[in-house]
Amino acid sequence: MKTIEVHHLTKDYGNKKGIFDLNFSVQKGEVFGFLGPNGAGKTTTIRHLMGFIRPDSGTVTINGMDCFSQHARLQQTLGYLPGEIALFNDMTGTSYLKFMADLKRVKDQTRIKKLMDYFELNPKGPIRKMSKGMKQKLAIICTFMSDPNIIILDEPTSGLDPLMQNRFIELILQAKKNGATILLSSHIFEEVEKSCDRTAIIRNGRLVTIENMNSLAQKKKKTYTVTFADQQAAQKFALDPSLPIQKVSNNQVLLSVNGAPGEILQKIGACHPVDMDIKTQTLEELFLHYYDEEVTP
Amino acid sequence: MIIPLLKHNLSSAIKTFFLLFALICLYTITIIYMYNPELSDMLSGYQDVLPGMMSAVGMTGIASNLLEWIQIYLYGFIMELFPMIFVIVLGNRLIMSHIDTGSMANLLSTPHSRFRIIFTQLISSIMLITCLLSAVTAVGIISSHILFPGELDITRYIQLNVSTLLLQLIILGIVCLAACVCNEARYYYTFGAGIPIIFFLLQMLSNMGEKLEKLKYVTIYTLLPAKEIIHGESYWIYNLSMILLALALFSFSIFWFDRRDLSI
Repeated sequence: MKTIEVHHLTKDYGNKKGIFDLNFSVQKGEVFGFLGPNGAGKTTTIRHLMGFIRPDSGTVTINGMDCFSQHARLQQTLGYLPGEIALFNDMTGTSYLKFMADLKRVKDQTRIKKLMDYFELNPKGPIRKMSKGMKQKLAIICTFMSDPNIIILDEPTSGLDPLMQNRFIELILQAKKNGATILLSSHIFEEVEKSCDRTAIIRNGRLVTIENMNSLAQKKKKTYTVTFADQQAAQKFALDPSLPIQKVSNNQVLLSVNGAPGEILQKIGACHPVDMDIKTQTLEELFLHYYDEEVTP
Repeated sequence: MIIPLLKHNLSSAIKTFFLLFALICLYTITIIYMYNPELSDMLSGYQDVLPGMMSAVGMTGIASNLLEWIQIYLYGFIMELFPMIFVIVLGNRLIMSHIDTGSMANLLSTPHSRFRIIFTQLISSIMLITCLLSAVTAVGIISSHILFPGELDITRYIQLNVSTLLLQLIILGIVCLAACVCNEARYYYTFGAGIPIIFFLLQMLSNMGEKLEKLKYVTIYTLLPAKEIIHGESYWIYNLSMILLALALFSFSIFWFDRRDLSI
């Protein structure tokens, strides 16, 4: 069942800025990544989903309801974390959380307490004196306080330290376990790789591709760097035509391997190498060509 | 209406409220304290010496009673300018700043419609300006009673303040419309503050009389029926037009906010 549906969404701000003919859908219970460089149109798409702006053309629906006209109804089950955090600076953290809980009609305070403990947040003191990370934590708690089943996150971990970034990803995975549908916009590959089922790449306002993260993991190549005692041994090893040789340099041979390693490992073992190193291609390396190339729609 | 938001609005405006309340009270009490029909002759002497200056701020005519005195020396300038400043600050604090900084996203990510949000902001502003003018009216009545018992025509004084409130509601309408249409605070100040200030300046110029008097037809301040109230003439048409104008501006603000794009 599709929870989020975007059909032929276009919002033209002129000067080639905006988003153009965007199509994608997010299944119920799926974590959907939204990856792209700065200014690609991720936030503009999310603003449509939140009902902040109206499409020039096309439709944006969540659970079959139009995101602009049915915005208030949709917010009952939705959690949103904006990319630019703007809180009420004249409040203290505590009163802000209370205020937002009142507005969201969250009666049970235990979840808020749990989240504060989880992120080690002490919300006392005025918001305007808080660091970026603390404000981010406050906003994250607001997003999750109502236990939403649709969650929209716009670059959620910016401002968090690595420890808290990991905790945040665990929180997402936990929400997924509980059946939540999540759209996660990011420009950090690692974050997307750890949490998403599928990922859309967006560039210059156009959808470049949608990749399934599982099949992508299988596409990833590994580079074996095999070191031999001397140059001769290395060259002898490289003579075997069945090996996926990438490069031979001095006493080292680089192999580019895709799939099960059994046979190749046996061949390597037979030549008595002195050392071996395995490096997995990162998601970043896989995706980077989408960023560099001029993609024609 | 969203009660938690209303509470927040009231508490966030409380400092400005008391500041302006204190300022207006200071002027009100001073002017009432100075009431003295003999002094009126002296002040009309000023009017002879500085005709332009005094009439620009509405201080013309000779006061024959306390109400007229208050009207001449307060309702041409102080009671128009200070509440206007309050209304402009409110428009920024309750609407524009939320759009400008993006904190409106907090409100829109709660299960409340845009209509309810903007309606709450409008009601909060109306409540605050009404409270301000009511409190000032009370101070005026009490201080008149203490200083000059029985001198003030209380009914007409209240009528004068009700019409002043209606005038401020029009300004609130202009301010809200500017906040609902503009994307950035600087445009808000250009229109939301600029238009009321221009009206105010036009009123000062038209007060100076002669050829400039015609300017009174292009400023909303002409709608304040101060002279009519003082002289007991019929003025309901003024109040009615102010109410209609304010309602039209409010409706248009809500309509616009409900369908606009918010890049927050």
